[in-house]
Amino acid sequence: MRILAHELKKIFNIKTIILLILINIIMYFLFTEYDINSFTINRPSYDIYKMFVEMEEAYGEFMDEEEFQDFKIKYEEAIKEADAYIQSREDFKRAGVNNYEDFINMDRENEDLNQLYYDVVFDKGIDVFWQLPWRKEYIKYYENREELMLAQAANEKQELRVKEILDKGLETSVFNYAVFFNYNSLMKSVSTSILVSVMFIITPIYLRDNKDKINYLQYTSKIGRRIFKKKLLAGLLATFILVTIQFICFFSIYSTNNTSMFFNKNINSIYNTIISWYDLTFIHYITISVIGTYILALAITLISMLVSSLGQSYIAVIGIQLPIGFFIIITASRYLINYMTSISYPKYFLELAYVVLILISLILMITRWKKEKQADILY
Amino acid sequence: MLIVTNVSKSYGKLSVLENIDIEFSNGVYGLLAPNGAGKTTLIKMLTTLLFPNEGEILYNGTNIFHMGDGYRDILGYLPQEFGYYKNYSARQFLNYLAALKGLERNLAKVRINELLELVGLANVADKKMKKYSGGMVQRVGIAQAMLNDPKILILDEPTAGLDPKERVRFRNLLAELSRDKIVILSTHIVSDIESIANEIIMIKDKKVLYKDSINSICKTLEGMVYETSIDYAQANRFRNHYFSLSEKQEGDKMKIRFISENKLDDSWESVSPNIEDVFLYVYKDEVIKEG
Amino acid sequence: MDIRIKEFKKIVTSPIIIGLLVLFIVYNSIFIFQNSYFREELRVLTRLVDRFGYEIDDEMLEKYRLYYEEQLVSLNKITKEKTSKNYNSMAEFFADYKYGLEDIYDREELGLIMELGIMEAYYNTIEEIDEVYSSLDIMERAESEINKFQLIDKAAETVRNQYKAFSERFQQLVNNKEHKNLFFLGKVYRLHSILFKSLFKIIIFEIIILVVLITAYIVNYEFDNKTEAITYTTKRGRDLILDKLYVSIFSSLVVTTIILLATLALYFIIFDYSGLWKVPISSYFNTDHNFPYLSWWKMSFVQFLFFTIGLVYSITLLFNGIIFIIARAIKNTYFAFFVFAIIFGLFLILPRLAPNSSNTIFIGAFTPYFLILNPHVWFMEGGAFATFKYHEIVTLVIWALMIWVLSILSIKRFKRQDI
Repeated sequence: MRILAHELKKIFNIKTIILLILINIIMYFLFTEYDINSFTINRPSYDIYKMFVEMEEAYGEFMDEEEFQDFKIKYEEAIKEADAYIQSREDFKRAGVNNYEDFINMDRENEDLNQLYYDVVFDKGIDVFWQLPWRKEYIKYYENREELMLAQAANEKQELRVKEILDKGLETSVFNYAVFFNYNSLMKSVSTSILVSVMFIITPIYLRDNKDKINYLQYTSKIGRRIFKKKLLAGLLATFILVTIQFICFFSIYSTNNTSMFFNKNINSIYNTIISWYDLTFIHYITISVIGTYILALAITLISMLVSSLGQSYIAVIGIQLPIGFFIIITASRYLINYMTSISYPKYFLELAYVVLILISLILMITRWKKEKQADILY
Repeated sequence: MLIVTNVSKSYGKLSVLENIDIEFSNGVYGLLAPNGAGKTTLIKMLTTLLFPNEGEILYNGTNIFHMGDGYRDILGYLPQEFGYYKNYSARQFLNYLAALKGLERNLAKVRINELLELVGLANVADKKMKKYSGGMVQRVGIAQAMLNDPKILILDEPTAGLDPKERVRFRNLLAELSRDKIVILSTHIVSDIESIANEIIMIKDKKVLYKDSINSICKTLEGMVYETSIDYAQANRFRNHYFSLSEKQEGDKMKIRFISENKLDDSWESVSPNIEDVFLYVYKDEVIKEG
Repeated sequence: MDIRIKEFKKIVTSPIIIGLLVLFIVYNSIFIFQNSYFREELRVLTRLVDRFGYEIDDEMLEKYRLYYEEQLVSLNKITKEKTSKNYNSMAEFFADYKYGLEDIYDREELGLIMELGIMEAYYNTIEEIDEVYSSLDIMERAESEINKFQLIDKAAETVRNQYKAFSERFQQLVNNKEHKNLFFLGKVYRLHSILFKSLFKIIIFEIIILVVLITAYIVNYEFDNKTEAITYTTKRGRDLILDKLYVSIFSSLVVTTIILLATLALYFIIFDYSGLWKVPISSYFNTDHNFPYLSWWKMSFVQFLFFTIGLVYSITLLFNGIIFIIARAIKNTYFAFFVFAIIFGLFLILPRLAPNSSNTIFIGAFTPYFLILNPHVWFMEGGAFATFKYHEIVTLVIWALMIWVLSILSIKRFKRQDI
């Protein structure tokens, strides 16, 4: 136990911690910050989000036929609001635009009319004009939801799954792509930051002692070569601690996006851009993305330790870790963390990929341990 | 008893040690050989860092590689190139190693204090080791080797970096410890072992050449070591005929100590051979190769 | 000199450096191949340029149109035979057939179809050049850029001033008819972005990685191998650090050359630019997004390529200096690498920190870190932050000076430092 504590202290030494914090701050500003801030700025995503918050309060988890009628009424009300706004402005009257219908049919090739459009939509940013096109779209979606869902199935298995969803009525879930996409985007940046951080603190574990010949003293002491296993354990623990802290920070920041009302909403909604093999709610999805990241971090820990125990110098090890890290992080953020369980991938692709990744890294590390037990310590 | 039986070691095709047979019991052993003769290889095998290709190393009848923790528990080792953590203090470093050696926490504290006192580092125990002089670092190394009160103490060039005063101190320390331990000292500094070694082991041509008391080994050159004074002009010619062991300025002449089978001149004075003479003589081919 | 050769050997025999070089070249090759599916089509343009030259004027246009009509007639002969249909344009033709052409026409005929289709596409593009360029308002572009980044006050003024200067150049460009030259159709093939944006960016990043590794490796080699006590006390002594610096510079240049050579050689083998080398880079056809590429000076494609390569070498040297200073300051090569990465990230964030109103916001644009993000608009109009006539040169000179001074200080410090 003491040895484990010692090894952990070596991993989390003060210089490493300082650099770790700096690295994370920089990665936050380079990648994550945009998605956090833009959530409340980007249009129409933010408008859609607000629309759905309203819907959630009124309709709950799913939108049934009755509620849909209400939604259509809201649409009509919104049009009236737009009409009222247009009619309140002299310049619209002069241009011969008297209601919302005229507005969307304006000839935007005309300079003046185009100016008016810009003024309302961009300069003044009147909410209802952003919402209306999407209310209309979503009404169409709801009315044609069966066709639209089925159209996304590219093969038999997918079709079966879609039918399953339709049977359960999950597609009327009050959930939207704005929230989902934003979360996935964020998750990509966050998992990248996490994986880079893990590689940073784990890579020196074996190398540090090996290159300074401290392993002479370690291997000849009572604990001997078993220190290898202790370091392995220390590395895994360190990763677990690091990832947990980073997730705590992330979710604290994410909570400012206020999406918790959607946590229990099924992600297989017609208004969302994913069809999943499983009946996941948003919070389920968040959970599996977190678990996925832990598994990836675990795999990268094992691989980094493998490289660390084989390397001769820091530069050599960095030279090897760079392509490995690059490859894993790119693959992970494209296929393993992004839009997880989507039917565009084969059903068990995700599970298999993770299992294979862990197995390979475990096997490699175990082999390395076996070798180290019997190896001549030459250098 | 630590017994090396018929041990051989090669790196690929390069054979380094062949059929080594040595028995160690309590006492101080000096391992004397030039670098590259296999000294470090032997030491690394005794400390389980290397595995013999042939033969066994037994401690009290059991193969040390099968003893696992049990062997290393009674082992103390100071390597030649001694690695440490620059940002640790001596106390922190010894603490770390005490944990590795399985010492119970309180016992470790006591032991560390004792040892720091013993090697004279009590005052600077909490300063970072990067501020230490080479000698101080070496003393930390000696201290860590003794943390677990080992029964087998293996020290590779332990006095490198110590000044003469420290070396004397070290010698006395060892003399005391060796009563109930096997102490194996590998060194070039003959004065280190001259006074305290029970036996000297010399390795030549991949095999053990001598394993005997200093007296016995010196006897092999009995009657072959002479000293005389010659003119500087004659020095070269002289060297071509006889193997020179040492040369010293004495006034306007050179006093030379050398090897000769017989006394060929009255001016030659016969002297008692010492272990250094034997060392130089035994390894003279290697010396000449370098020269 | 002997010392330097030995230092160089340390680098050249490092399996990591060699391994990464090979890996990078393979990666670049894959990238080029993935983007090469349209290379056959490019030959159509090359043949057209052979026939008519690349300068577009009324005479050339006339010849082009005649040729096109001849070919259309030939096609109609074939279609009449096979499907009894007649076409006035390829647009009509393709409206009829979305798929299944291979079933009706043989290879030669398909060749003709492809050629005609491409000819028509180019012809349509030619027709719109004048209109596009006459309606191009440089100051309007300035305003939209100012809006995009929400610049105000002095910052906005600076942008306007730069664009005003650029307007003059733009006039000159139009008068020179630089835009009226045939080139690979950017809207379809996007070769300018593929080569200068993607490929060059990849190359630059690869070079930076190698330069950082090589320099950190060689500069701290003695400390890492614990030979500092022997090497720095020799006759050459601490001057050895200079040898290391020069060798790292030399190695960086070698590595840059290898990657550039291997990658660009493959690129130009795959994409045949014959006859097009002297086409002005500001050709309208180069456009692959919604705004054309407009260079500050009259430059042909090959000149632009050369200047770009030159800038890549210069930037390589800058980064070499930067990592030298960092590696000397931070003994631990592992941390030195990450400090480099952190500083890299810091400079990328820098532009965002300054207020939108002051000119300090442009400081962040005059760094090599900023430059390497947009190789495709070097020496060109490039948005609010990259439209300065001497952007690249000023950045290079300022940074070269800073790095020069810091390097000298670093070396001086090393000479007096305790080892």
